[in-house]
Amino acid sequence: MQTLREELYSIVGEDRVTDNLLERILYSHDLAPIPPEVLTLFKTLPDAVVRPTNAKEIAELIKYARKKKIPVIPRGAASWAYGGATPVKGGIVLDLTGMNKIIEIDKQEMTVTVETGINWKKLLEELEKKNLFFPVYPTSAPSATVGGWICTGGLGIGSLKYGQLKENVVEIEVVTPTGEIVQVPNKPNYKLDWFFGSEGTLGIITKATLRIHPEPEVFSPHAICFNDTEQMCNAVSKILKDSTKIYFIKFTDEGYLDIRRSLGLFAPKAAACALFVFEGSKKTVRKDLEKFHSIIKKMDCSELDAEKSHEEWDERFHPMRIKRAGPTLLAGDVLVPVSKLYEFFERLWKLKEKFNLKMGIEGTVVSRDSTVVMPMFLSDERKRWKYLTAMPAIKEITDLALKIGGKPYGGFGIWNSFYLDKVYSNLEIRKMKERKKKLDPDNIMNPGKLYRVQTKFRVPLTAKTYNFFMFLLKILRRFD
Amino acid sequence: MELIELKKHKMEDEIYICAQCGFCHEVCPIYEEIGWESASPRGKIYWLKHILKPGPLPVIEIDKEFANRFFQCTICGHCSEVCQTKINTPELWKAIRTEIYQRGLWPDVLNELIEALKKEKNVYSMPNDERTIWAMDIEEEIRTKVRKKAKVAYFVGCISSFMGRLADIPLSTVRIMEHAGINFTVLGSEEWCCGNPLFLAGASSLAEEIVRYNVATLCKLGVETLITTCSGCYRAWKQEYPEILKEDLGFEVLHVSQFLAKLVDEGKLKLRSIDGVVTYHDPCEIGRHCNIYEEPRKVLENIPKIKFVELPKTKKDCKCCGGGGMLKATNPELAAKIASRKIDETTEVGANILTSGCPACKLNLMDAIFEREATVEMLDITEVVARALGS
Repeated sequence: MQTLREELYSIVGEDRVTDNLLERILYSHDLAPIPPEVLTLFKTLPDAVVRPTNAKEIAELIKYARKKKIPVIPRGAASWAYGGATPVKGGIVLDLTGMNKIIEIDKQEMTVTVETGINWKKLLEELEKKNLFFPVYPTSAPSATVGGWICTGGLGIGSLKYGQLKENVVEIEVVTPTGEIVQVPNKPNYKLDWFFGSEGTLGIITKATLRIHPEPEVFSPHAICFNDTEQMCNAVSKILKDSTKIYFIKFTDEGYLDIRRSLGLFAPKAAACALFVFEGSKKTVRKDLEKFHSIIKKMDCSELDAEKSHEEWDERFHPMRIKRAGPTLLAGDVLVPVSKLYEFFERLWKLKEKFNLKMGIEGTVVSRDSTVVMPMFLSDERKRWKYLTAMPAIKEITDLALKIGGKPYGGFGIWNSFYLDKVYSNLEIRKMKERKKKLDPDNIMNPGKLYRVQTKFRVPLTAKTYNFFMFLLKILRRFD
Repeated sequence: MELIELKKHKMEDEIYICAQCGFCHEVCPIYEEIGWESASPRGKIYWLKHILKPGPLPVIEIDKEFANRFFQCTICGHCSEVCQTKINTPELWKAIRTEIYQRGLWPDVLNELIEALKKEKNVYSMPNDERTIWAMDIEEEIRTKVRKKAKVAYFVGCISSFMGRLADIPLSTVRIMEHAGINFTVLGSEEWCCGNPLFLAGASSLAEEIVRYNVATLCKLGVETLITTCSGCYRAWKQEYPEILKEDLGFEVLHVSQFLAKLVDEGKLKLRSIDGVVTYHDPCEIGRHCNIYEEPRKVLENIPKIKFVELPKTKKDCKCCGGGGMLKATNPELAAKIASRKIDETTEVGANILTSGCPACKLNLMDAIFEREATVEMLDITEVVARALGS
């Protein structure tokens, strides 16, 4: 009888298949360091890893996996932290980063078609060479892939002005869980919308056509230091209300600046800092800036010089710089109403005190009325008990967001799936589950997450169990 | 399991500081060729973490296969450049190579290297008396330079000394020195390998004798400035030697590009225009490791009417040529593939002369040019300058 490896060889060739333990270990995780006690619930070690180079190969792989009922886990850069690319019951991991070509740049239609394993930064650089621009991308752009971000939601840099990724995508190619290659939305009965945030559960996205723009004449970042966090929150609200064209707003609290300073990184002395970025034609940006400065000058704040502001803009890809102070960095990741931002800050600071956390808060405004907030706190995964009992703080952050009308941000994977019913209505969840069942009748595509977490003991991990364990850990924390 | 050398080098924390963000993927020349996670810096760090704390997953052994993976690396430092948490990866790679050496798991070719160094004081196992073989055509002239009291010494380095194909580098250097009226000395058979292969391979403990010998030999001649044409020698002298000696060397060390830039400033080089479109590849060991970016460009730009173009990625973003970190010795095929990409870059920017400041880069890139039958000419920066002198 042929082994799994041998059978996979016959589909994609020997060079691009492995069942070597050394390699499989590297494909058993994403960037979150999961406590070993939790890891034991899952079979995170894949049985094999394959690096396909085209949709046809993927279709063959899926047909084979379907026949054998083996889970297939698509993987981009694995730069997510919710376990989207982490197997929960073994299977075949498909490393898609080799499919990284730009297929076509159409200057007439102003679109770019790419293989989805390309990373965002590379794509942006290639477009820049031709004086073109794609406005929406994640802060993890130097590694995150186009396909990965489609699957995990697509809300990030540039969303404030250009909307979510899905609003900027024209077409995608998907290898369905039954091994069919379809173009969406051209394929009847398929909706483009389904695949954004599908987390690899509805098929594998192999190509994407994105709507591009001419490179803006001006990029104008302005870093502002506030002496009071409430003022900063007010400034953000006011600018969103009055300024029509702002491209990007990022903010940090004093805790975050303190951690940066402790590492010798640049951090101005301020209660809070925000970076406001405008882009467009010289004329429109000049107008926007007039409005912007008329708001800012009434506030108790100061603006950093142009060079520093540009450096802050360059730092947009590096929110994890502060990890050096950890060495482990744990984080909540939530979406809250801009109107409740200061209230959320206050609640987070209380939590910080309650849990005695070294916490820094960073956030990115993603729409006129909502902002992503990422409270990050330092920990040390080597101190097992302390690390494990720090986990409830993440849950508390999400719970705080829910209390003020926010929600978990960035998808579900394994670790956020307990909040599915807090984000979607029962009807929506039912529809999602029906769609999954219809498209993937054998449940081979990235099973055991998003809709319901499945452990290796074939027992699902429910929100109730999760809440109970978090409660228990919170109590045990007191005995630390 | 413990990784003693990581602890000794105070690099254990770095394993946990790594965010596993994968920013290193895009710039790693090895990952670009191999494509598997295990070829990437992030992957290698994850293994180390797994060895220290395997959790519920199976334990991995530090065996020959594991060891070999850590020699699939040019120690170019590009991963460190883009690292969010600023991990000093070159130091990390050297520390883990030391661990591998201590466990007796070095690739065989490196054991041969140690033998060569012990016996002949050079990496090629050649009789060290033949150190001036490169100067065959100017034998008389060089004889007057060997071990003479002089303020300036030229440290030729093993590759340029013994590889006939690279003899034009020291010959050009001598030609330039003479043109500028510099009184200098070379060590001849008393020059020992700088020890850089030992540092890169993780055996710096074996280098102390070499370091002390080379420094003492130069001090005896009253040297005030040491010039190297090899970026590896330069980095060793500049960074490793003071570390081992725990004190300053007592003389300055200059890469030839810095020395040439000085001569340009002093108006000592009368340069004429040269034909062709020139581009410059930043060698990792003087570039990212030692921040020498401007001097070579200054020298080239001072050649009248030079047509100089930059490569697509330059200075701290310059892609490694594949010739460093002992890769050419341990994984020659991989080194060749990486070099081939540099030839693509050169033609992409429309250059027909590719220049650099390192014999190891030159050697590896020359091989790729030959292999591909490309029309690109590979010249060291000293050769470009010598050509502009009209020689």
